[in-house]
Amino acid sequence: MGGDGRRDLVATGVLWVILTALGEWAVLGTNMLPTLASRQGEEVDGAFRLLMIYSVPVMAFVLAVLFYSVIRWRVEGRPGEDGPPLADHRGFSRTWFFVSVGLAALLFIHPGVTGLLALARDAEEEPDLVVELTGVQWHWDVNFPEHGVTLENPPELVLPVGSTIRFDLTSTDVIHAFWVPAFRLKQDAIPGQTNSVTITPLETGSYEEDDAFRLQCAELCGTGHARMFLPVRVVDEAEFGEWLAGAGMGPMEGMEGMDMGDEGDGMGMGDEGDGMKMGDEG
Amino acid sequence: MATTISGTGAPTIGSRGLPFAFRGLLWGAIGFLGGALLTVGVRVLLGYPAFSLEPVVVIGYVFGLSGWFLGVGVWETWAKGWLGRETVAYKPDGWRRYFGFHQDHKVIGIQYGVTFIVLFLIAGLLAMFMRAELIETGRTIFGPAGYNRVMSLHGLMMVLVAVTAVPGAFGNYIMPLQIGAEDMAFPRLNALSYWFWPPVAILLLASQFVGGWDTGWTGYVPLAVVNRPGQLFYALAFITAGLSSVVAAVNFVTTVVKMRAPGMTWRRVPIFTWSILFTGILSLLFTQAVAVALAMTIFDRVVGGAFFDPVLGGLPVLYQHIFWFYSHPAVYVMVLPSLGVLLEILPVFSRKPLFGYKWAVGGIIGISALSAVVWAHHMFTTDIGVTTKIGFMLTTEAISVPTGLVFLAAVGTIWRGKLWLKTPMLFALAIVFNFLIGGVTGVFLSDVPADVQLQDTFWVVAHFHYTIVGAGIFGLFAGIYYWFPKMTGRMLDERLGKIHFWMMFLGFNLTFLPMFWLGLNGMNRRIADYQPSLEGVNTFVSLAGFFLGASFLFFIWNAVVSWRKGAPAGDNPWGARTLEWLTTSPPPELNFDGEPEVTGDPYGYGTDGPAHAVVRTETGGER
Repeated sequence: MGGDGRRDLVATGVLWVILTALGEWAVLGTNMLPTLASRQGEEVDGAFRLLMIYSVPVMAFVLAVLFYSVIRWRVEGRPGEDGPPLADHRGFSRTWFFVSVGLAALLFIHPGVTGLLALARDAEEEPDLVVELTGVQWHWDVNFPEHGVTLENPPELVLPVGSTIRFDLTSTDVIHAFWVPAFRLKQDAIPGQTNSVTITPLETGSYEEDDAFRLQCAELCGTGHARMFLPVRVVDEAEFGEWLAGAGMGPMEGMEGMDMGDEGDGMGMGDEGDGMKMGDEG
Repeated sequence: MATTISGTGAPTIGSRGLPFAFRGLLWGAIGFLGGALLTVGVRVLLGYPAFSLEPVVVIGYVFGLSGWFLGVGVWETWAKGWLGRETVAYKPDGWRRYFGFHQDHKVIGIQYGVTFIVLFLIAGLLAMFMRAELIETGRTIFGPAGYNRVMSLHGLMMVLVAVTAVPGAFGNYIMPLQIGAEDMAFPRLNALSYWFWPPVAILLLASQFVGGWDTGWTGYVPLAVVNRPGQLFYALAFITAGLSSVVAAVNFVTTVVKMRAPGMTWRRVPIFTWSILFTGILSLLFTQAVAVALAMTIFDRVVGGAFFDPVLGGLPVLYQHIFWFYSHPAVYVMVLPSLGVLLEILPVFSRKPLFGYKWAVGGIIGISALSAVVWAHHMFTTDIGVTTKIGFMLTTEAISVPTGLVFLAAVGTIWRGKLWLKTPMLFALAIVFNFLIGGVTGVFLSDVPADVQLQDTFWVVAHFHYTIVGAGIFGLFAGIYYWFPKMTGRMLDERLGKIHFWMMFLGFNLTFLPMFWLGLNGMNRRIADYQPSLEGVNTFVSLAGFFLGASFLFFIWNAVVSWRKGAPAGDNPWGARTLEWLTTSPPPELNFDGEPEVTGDPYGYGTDGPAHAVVRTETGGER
């Protein structure tokens, strides 16, 4: 870009390096993610962190040019003369193009395809436990088919730590979606079909301590959508067995807490829910 | 009703009496009633209960829309010709121009601009109500049902604003000037495309009297089949808006291809005109898909169709495929014109050629081409299969390459320029900043492993606001500050403009940047209430959102006062080279007082090359 611009190139380069260093320091030094409690989530978080690391120098480059140019070349009042007629710079433009192609290809392969295939492999794993979840406006029905335990609108979903669990998702009315933030993966529950998502919880935890442990409906499903979540409790194998045995006996206390039956079906015009406080439930 | 303006000889209408828009309302109401009665009559004959809201509304609307168009001026200016009778022109003076079927592209550009600024402000006010609900947990002002309604209305209105405002206002007003044309290729279609919009607004208003709708702007089934009647109005409004887009797109494409002034080879076409051309091509190719999806929804709702009912063999996911087949290209319809505005403004206020013109045009073409094959990246959680996911991940990540070329042109243009930081330039530079964040955060969503966490969370909300507001709407305001002098003949106030800019830029970033964190930390989108752990950040976002909202008060004040009393602009206040600046502000009826001829590069700042264009007057003068 011309000999007289060398100092500007160097200064912009230095600014780029500084911005990149600051950005990487921020990305590597802070944890922006909620509690992670599943094996599959490691793949997700790995992809997210890698993309952050890649993003920083790209953003820093554009910002370095933007900031440097505005500071260095702003003029007060109407410019008396034109700038240099740089209509293109073959080497720079081509480099830009090929670097962006390379970056897109790199990100596509890793973490894109590699992560996707890893998740697909996990999904094919033989599950230790199958849980059927049915979305209903606006709660979840839970069925443990291997244990003959069916829970309509239960107050919580209890899961064993360390087991590979396949959730079979469907819906009786509109589209809902399975999302436990601590597990990361999301999958739609669609009427007329069954979608599966496989999760291996690695940490115990409960909604009372951490709201990342909740089965949140993540697809807009009508009036009760915001409150359509089911507290999740991940416990050890023995406790899960006890809970399941107890759950098979009959209705459990606390169900009123999640009952939304009094809200109508959302077809009426004035069926606005009562004031709600999410933390009070469960 | 026809009068003759002395001297012209041609009969014209609309100079006296009630403005035609009111007659359109009347004729539309008559049409609606006729259609409604017809429906009731047919129902009685077939033995159904006489009244059912949705069939009556659908048929009534078709007749009402026809009546509206005839009443607003299609009858005298167009339809009479189909019957072999003489048509007349609608050419009143003053404010009346804007209230009837006027066919001048400059009138239509102003109609679009004012209409969509008003819609933008109303939809923005709805966003204020949304943030008021979300300022703390629990019920704040209207609870979940009311929130879903307001959120859905905000979403659809803003999508329509984003799709239409820049091409509607500047594609109509500026593009024909930029290519040295007297008008658009099809002036009557142009007027037709604008007059679709009042019925859209009436439908959206009417929907609120039957409970509104609660599916967001996307209208996913089966929810959209089983919910309130307001959903029907949503579908009719969206289809009507789509018709407007298609009609306008035919016109844009034909005009750019056929109406360019002598000498304007493809390499001399201004970049904004390129962006309008490809916006038109996208609208023309894809808008029908959303109409199909919504028509299928109407069939399912109104006559018991089963396109999406799994019990009867329908497929809910099918809707999403058809819907996004349009609606992903649509996000480029929202952004491309504003990127055109960005690259149009940067050379003028950097006093340098547009850097890498060919690359920038290639970027616009590449984005357009790839946008056709990325739709299923909205559906990574619907079980579309690993191979399909890989394909759509590839195409979606590939779109970062042509998008990057727009950034190449932007940073190359400002490099070593003489940066004149007037308000339009500030908005342009802000687009580079905002769109960078919007683009990079989109890469996360294209990556399936990251997307399964981020999909349907506030990360998505933040991402698309950074692209569609951060680039699209900032581009609208960049364009307003840049072209307002041309369109009104008066300058906007620079001090108020800068206050508006800084409040909007800071308010925007403070509102939407924290939303990325919210999405990561478990805040899913479209919810009236959230977990208590997210309350602090939400309160901050709401307050920043109110600040952002307040910035537009300065804009309204500035626009209203400057339009009447602003400093005279002169022909070319920014010292730009493109053709719209080689005529008066505002331009005469046929745009140029002579024959424009294009002789050089539109962005040859700092070069010794020939001027971009000259306008030769009959008396031998040149501009």
